[in-house]
Amino acid sequence: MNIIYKKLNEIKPYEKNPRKNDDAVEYVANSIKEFGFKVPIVIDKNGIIVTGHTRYKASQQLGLEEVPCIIADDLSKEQIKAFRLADNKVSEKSNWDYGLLDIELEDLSLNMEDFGFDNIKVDWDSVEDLTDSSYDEPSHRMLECPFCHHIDRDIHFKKVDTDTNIEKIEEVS
Amino acid sequence: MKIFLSAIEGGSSCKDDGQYMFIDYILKEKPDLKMKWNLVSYYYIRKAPKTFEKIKNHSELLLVDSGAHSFQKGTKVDWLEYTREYADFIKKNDNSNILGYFEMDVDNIIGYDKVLELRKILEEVSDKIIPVWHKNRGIEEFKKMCRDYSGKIIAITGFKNEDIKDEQYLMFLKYAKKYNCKVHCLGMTRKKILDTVPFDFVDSSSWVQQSIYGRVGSRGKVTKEFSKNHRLTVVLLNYLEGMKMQEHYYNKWKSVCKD
Repeated sequence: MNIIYKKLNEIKPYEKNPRKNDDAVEYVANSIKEFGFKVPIVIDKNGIIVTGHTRYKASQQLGLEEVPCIIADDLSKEQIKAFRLADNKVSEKSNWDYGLLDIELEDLSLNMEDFGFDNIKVDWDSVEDLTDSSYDEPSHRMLECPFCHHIDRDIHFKKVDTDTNIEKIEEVS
Repeated sequence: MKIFLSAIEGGSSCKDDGQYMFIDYILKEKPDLKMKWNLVSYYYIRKAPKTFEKIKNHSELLLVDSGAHSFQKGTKVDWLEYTREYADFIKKNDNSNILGYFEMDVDNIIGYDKVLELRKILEEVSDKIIPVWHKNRGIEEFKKMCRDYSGKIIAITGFKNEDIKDEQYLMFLKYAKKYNCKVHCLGMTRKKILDTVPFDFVDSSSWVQQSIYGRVGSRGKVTKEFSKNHRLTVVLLNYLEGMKMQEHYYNKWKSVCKD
């Protein structure tokens, strides 16, 4: 397998890529910054991305000039189309063993939130104590009637019951 | 954090999927589904005992809401009689997989003193009655509730702009933890809060609400849209998405909630 370096402007995202990856870009950029570009972008012979759209966007965000690529010139057009989908789909089938994950995360000094792991600690000491002065009642929202344009506090309007928007039926025997 | 999926006692009919109670349709399509945590409203299940039995038998844990919110929607009900019937229902149906029963928190209709009388009726039949704090009771009453129900479940509300501001939830939780209370936040579905405040329990009907619009997805992401002729299919898919959400938040907070 040959890894070649391509200028970022020489490769192009697949315009019908159905994977929404914007939320992941920041984490992938952090990963590249911390660990380097360890997984090349797979492109077809015309420079269109097969897999690695998020790495491409992260590279743009980081201002990289060139990125490692693999040219999938052994795949047919149909195989490329299928691989583009399959590569994303198979990751959905994996799950975490949360017990082992906790153990692995515990020893790390790196801030793993940078790579998308949630912060699961609560610093209770920094939470203010509940006192009369710390509790400040929420104020009611003001609503406007869409028909007569009367403006009033929300509690004076009848709420729409979202449950009953689903048609309630009697028990089916 | 355990998210209890509510409104599962409902039902629907649509052109292509037919007419079913949600639980019946879900079990028809997924007979081996291991449901986790559900919440039902006594207001609806009192008239649907078979549906209730099925939900109870298929849930790992179940919470029962008094249905007090139905009173607030203008339904005329004799609250004393309703509470006695609720107590009777609890006596007849209680078992180990029912985690608790919410009190009749109709403060804004009959006042807190009367609510306490109704709570007494319920507590005569079960020690699993969950008090629900509202701001009209005052902050001292929240503290008293934590002391009185030390080691048990207490509830607050998660409806926006109702009792507690978003930035104050941790403060309430911190106080409750001092008395070893487990805290249920009723109707809390906001991702921003679920991601930052480790309530022990919350409930969510967002899976049903998504279904109204024919949308499938969870945690704020819509993945598919269907026509109204497939409403039950959508309900099923959203219930399964809801179960993924249960797993996500349970795992996320399990080292903090320890439950």
